[in-house]
Amino acid sequence: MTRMTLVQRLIYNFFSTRGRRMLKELIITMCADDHAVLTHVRLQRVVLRTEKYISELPFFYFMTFKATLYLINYALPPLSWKLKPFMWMPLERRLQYLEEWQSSSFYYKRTLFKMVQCVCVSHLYSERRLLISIGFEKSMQHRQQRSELPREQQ
Amino acid sequence: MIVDGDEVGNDIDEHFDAVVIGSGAGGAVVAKELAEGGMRVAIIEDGAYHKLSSHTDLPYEALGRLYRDKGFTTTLGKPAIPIPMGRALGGTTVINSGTCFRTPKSVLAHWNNDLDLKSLTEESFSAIFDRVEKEINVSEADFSVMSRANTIFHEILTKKGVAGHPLKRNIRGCEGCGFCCYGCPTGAKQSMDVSYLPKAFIHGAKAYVNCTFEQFIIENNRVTGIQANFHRYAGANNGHTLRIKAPRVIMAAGTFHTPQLLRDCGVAVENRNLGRNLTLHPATKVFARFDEEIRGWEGTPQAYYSEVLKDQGITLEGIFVPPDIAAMTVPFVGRRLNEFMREYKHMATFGFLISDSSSGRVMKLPLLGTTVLYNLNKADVEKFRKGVAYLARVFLEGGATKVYTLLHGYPEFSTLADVERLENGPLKAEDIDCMAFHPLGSCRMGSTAETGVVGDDFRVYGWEGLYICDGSVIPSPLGVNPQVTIMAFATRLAYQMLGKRLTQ
Ligand SMILES: Cc1cc2nc3c(=O)[nH]c(=O)nc-3n(C[C@H](O)[C@H](O)[C@H](O)COP(=O)(O)OP(=O)(O)OC[C@H]3O[C@@H](n4cnc5c(N)ncnc54)[C@H](O)[C@@H]3O)c2cc1C
Ligand code: SF4
Repeated sequence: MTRMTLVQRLIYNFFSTRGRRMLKELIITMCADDHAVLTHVRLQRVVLRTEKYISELPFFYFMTFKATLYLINYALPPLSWKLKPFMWMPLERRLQYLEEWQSSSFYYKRTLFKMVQCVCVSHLYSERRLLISIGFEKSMQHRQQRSELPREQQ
Repeated sequence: MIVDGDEVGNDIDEHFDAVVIGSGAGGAVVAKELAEGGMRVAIIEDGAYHKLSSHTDLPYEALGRLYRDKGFTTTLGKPAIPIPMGRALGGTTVINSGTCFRTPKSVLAHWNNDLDLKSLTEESFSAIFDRVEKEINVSEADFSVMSRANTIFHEILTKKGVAGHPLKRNIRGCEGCGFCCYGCPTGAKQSMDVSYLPKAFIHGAKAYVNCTFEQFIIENNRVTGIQANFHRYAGANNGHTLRIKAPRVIMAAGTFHTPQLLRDCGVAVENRNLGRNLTLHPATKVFARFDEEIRGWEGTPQAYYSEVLKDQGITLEGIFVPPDIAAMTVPFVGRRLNEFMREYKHMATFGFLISDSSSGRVMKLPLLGTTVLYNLNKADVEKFRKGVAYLARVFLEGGATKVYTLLHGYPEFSTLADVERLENGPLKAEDIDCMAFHPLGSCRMGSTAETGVVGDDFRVYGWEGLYICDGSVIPSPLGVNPQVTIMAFATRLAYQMLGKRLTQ
């Protein structure tokens, strides 16, 4: 991580704990609030882990992530324009809205969205029970069992 | 011997015959060869030492542990390209796929004839390649432990009468568990931490880990040592410094860091090649859905390749990433994402890298720190079009029910007509979602200071006692995975320093 100035550190600390609800709603929408997915997930844990991950990113990425989160939520110009913030939209509108971001013809808009999507979705899919539900069980166990072997067999 | 910055409680002052910054493919090899040749060698590594028994976490968690900036390093330009790199004792070799290629003959000929690097002949390298391949046990990947994503592609190519081959890999007893890029838990992959470095330690080399190089000690244009800071495992500075005096300082911090570290120290700043001429081998993949369960995460993910598009600058290579990593790249959200992930066990993937004619530069920007500026040119965009179209065709003809690409505007193909749409449709650099695993050339070797940062003796032009030996000195893109080339360069430098010649 590049070294931070005092001002950067203050900004970091200020924004680190903000936006938790937005993050949560975004993650829920990323998986279309689907019970078949969410039943395998401890949502609060995913949100906290995602938040921690973001707060440990280099300053530039951290700020870009946070700014994009706000841009998505408040549908701020020039990237989008909606009267209702994302968190107040019904599910179908939210899904449509996220798809607009994802398939936008404006390159920077979809790149920013990709960054947010990438972090949120990968945290969701690093929940072990969800991975098991899609068939990843054997490989995961194999990897974990390695640590139980005596050193010379590792 | 390993000295861990996490535990150091005082400043350290030492003298060595050589100090190497970075312990990846370049650093580890030069350190071991010099130590074996009788020199007292120190290695400075920013990352930590990770025992094999620590490679038990999920791939996604391993990104945070073993990758620089949690794998988030990205270029600026069109498109923005993630360039993951390792940060650990062993460097990027700890998290690479283990694929091994010798430098292609055509590339050596280009260096010789076009770049005037007369000493880099095929003959001069052959004994060196033999030695490197023996040290890391390069051997052909075994079909019995290959991911089905590789073997299904092999079966389809064979039916079409197209040549493909198992890749050569640096492995000893690979079990095909599929986690090569997240730390091999069995020690089968002969990354630097299990191959070259233990031998360096046997010959007395000392590695300082969790220790960041900061400054050269300079006396009249001669580099006579280095200064570094120890830090805690979590990253905070621990307040203690390391000072090493050595007549030979070898930079091997990787293509991304080496040029900027030199610049930060005011070294070679007048050389206009410093940080420039950067190439990346940008790469992408396609997903293909089959009715059969593929479970591509079981078995070696990168074990098969084809050179069928080689003359167009495209090398096709197997690739499969576990679901927690795949989830990041899926071009869908909502219900389609859920469906894609539920179906992931039915997906095969295959990828390719291009030998890029685009070039970028490493520089420092306010807020961003060290950064890469890189734009994909038109010729390279066309390579992506050809590569994706070829793979999509192969998979659809081979029985895939659907093919998914990472190209904006062409997310999925169900028929060959869809592929034709890509072949004839618009495609811009920013439409391509790619990654790059092989940054090269940012301090390239050149026959004069006008064309390179180092000469063919690896010495930085205009400076005594300072050498570079990592991916940054590779004079041009290789079109194949670079670790063996980097190791061969490092062996060459070590033998030159020892005043010895390697013969077959
Ligand atoms: C996911 C992935 C898969 C890959 N697969 C393959 C493959 O199959 N085959 C292949 O040939 N290549 C592969 N590569 C590329 C290959 O591993 C690299 O090209 C090679 O390791 C580069 O060697 P290097 O010595 O230049 O740098 P690195 O191996 O990156 O080593 C540089 C080291 O320097 C350290 N460092 C940086 N700054 C400092 C500092 N200030 N102080 C102290 N230390 C510092 C870093 O922490 C790092 O450990 C892959 C790369 C990736 C990311
Ligand atoms: S497949 Fe498993 S055992 Fe083989 S090299 Fe990769 S991580 Fe190691």
